Amino acid sequence: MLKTKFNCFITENEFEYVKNKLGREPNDFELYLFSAAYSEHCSYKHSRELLKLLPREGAIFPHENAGGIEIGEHAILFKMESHNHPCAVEPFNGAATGVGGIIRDVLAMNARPIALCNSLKFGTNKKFLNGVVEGISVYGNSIGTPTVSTEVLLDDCFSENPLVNVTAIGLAKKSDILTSNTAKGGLKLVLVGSATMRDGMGGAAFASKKLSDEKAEDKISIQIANPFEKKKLIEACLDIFSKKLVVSCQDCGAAGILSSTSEVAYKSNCGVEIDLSKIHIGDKSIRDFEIMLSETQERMLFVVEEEKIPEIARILTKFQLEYSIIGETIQNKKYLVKNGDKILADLPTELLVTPPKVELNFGGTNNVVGQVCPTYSSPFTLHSSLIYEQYDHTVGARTQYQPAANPQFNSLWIWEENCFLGVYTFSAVIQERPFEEVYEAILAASKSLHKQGFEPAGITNCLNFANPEIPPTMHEFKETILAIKKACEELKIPVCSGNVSFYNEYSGGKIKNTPTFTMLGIKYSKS
Amino acid sequence: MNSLKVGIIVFLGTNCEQDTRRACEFFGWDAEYIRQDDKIEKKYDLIFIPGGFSYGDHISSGRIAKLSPAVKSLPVGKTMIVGICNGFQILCEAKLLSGALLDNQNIKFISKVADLDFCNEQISLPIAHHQGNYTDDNIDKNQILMTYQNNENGSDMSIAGIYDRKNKIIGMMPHPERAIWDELGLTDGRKVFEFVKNQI
Repeated sequence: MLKTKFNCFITENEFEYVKNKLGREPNDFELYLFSAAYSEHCSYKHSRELLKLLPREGAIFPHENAGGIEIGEHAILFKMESHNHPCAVEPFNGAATGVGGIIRDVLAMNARPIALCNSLKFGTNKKFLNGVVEGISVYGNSIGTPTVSTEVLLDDCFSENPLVNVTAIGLAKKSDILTSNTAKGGLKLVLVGSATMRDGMGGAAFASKKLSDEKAEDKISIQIANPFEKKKLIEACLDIFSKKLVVSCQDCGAAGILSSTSEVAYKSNCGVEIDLSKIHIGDKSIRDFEIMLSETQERMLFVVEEEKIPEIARILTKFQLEYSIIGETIQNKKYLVKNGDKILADLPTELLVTPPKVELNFGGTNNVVGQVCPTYSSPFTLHSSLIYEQYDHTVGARTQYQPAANPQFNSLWIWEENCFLGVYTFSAVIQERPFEEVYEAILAASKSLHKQGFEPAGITNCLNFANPEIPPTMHEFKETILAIKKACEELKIPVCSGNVSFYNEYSGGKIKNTPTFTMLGIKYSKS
Repeated sequence: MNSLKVGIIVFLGTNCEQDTRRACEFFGWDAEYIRQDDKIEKKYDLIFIPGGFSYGDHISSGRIAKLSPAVKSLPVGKTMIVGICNGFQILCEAKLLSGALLDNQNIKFISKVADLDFCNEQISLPIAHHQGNYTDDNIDKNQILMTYQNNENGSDMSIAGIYDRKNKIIGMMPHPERAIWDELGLTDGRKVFEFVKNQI
């Protein structure tokens, strides 16, 4: 493992691979790019092959920012994501930016976010609980998206490494959905939203290793939440997208500008040329590689035709949002970064998004046994004012149920299609038999939806696991994937989207591996 | 007078404008948005200031919105004005209603369905706010429009909404616009909308 100057890691194997492909050693700047792009968080190098086994039939856009299901003329796009590591360091901002991040994924596809769900796991000492709940509450409530389904579990394996998984559900007109694979050469790249600063620096790398005891050094990896900026961004994006002013869109999530631009280029089969001197910056002392990797929140990347820029600018000004034209797409499949006249990186786009294959270790079996206590049926019962009452669940006038009786389940009125969307968030904290436990959890969720009159229609997952390099993590991961596959095939529902979070470990131990899900179901109104 | 001409003021950060508009449409009222930067020159029968987090509640809720051209040009005394949640906070900040809305007594956001006394009736409406703790040293009891049955947030005299009849201004923390639809099982919001209409 090579360690470069700023929390950036790249293995020797990866370094050799890059050197061979390039025919030269990467320069320092390029090395920073690779260290983020090849991090587990961005590259899914331990999970990507196994994830291909998941059933996608019936899903729309399962490989985009958020996949979904169709309902008449509309689509429900939804995705679950983790923000475990940030919450262990800074619970409030960690959880709030977790909500902000997943909202961007559905927004990037021109879907209005209509609901949020979360699955939270803490130790029985409830450390982190107040901060996490407040972060979700402040962010979700401010942007006007109701939090409708919540699962909270307490188990001491999560006492230092809480799990904070958040699902966003978006509603889009099928004909208006935007994707990140429709760019072509000769278009402008417009970065919209907050000025780029140092916050969230190295976040992708941070999420790809176990938590250290030295949390101070991890602080800079935490993004800072600004829900007001996000609310403006949501309304501006939906306005701009509805006027068909944007060709392609990608949100700036992990590894910020680097991953958003390289993903658009790779998926659209073209290249990009970026000029760092053009980017609106909020911190003059920021270094070049930091601009590329910063995870400053509330930013989106638009790919647009040049003549549309004045109209886009007019709308952004109306919403008091900043923007800059940071470069353009090129036909040549290259990833070029410069600062004024100085060329900083000249790489094949493909190399940035395809790390070398890693060897997977499927050995070992787990023998961690313990008790997981659901909060609402255990001695750890929490007063609802500590959790659910802090979430605005009625904004949007779609929510059918109060959270107190059955917090994991809710129903959203999709009046546009005269139907209801059943929402159920659950998890399987793996004790001894990963396959059976995950399989049974999914079937039980489906039964719950059926009982309420809903036909299961799709699922999103967030797979929270320990270090994939150490057995039996990959064994349990594989069993989990096979269980999801079997259960979903039997239920005839697709896995529409998902997220993997490895390295959920801290100095005192590791978590029990925990896949988390939100399952959606449909019920048509009688009328 | 069946159809009303309704204006709904939208600030940056407002998030209940669509719910309010759909509720108006349920009654067949003709609703349109008024942007924060626009002076209100048109004639409306009713103006809503809806809920949300105008300007991100920067400094304090309603503190910046009260300075907007839309609020400064409100036709006070001429048109019925209704502020809901953040709208109530803005009206108090702008001194168009008396009193102030402080942090809830438990210093937390409270989202639940609250039981209320309203026009000699018991109704249930959603509440969702962090600063809904109404306080006023010189409450004019004639202005009390709506009270909590279980004082949810520590408000003086359990006040959930007030009505300045002279200036035709109503402010309330509960969200009647979220309690309109049979599909959601909560329809007491209709009573509030009908009351408002009858006051015009």
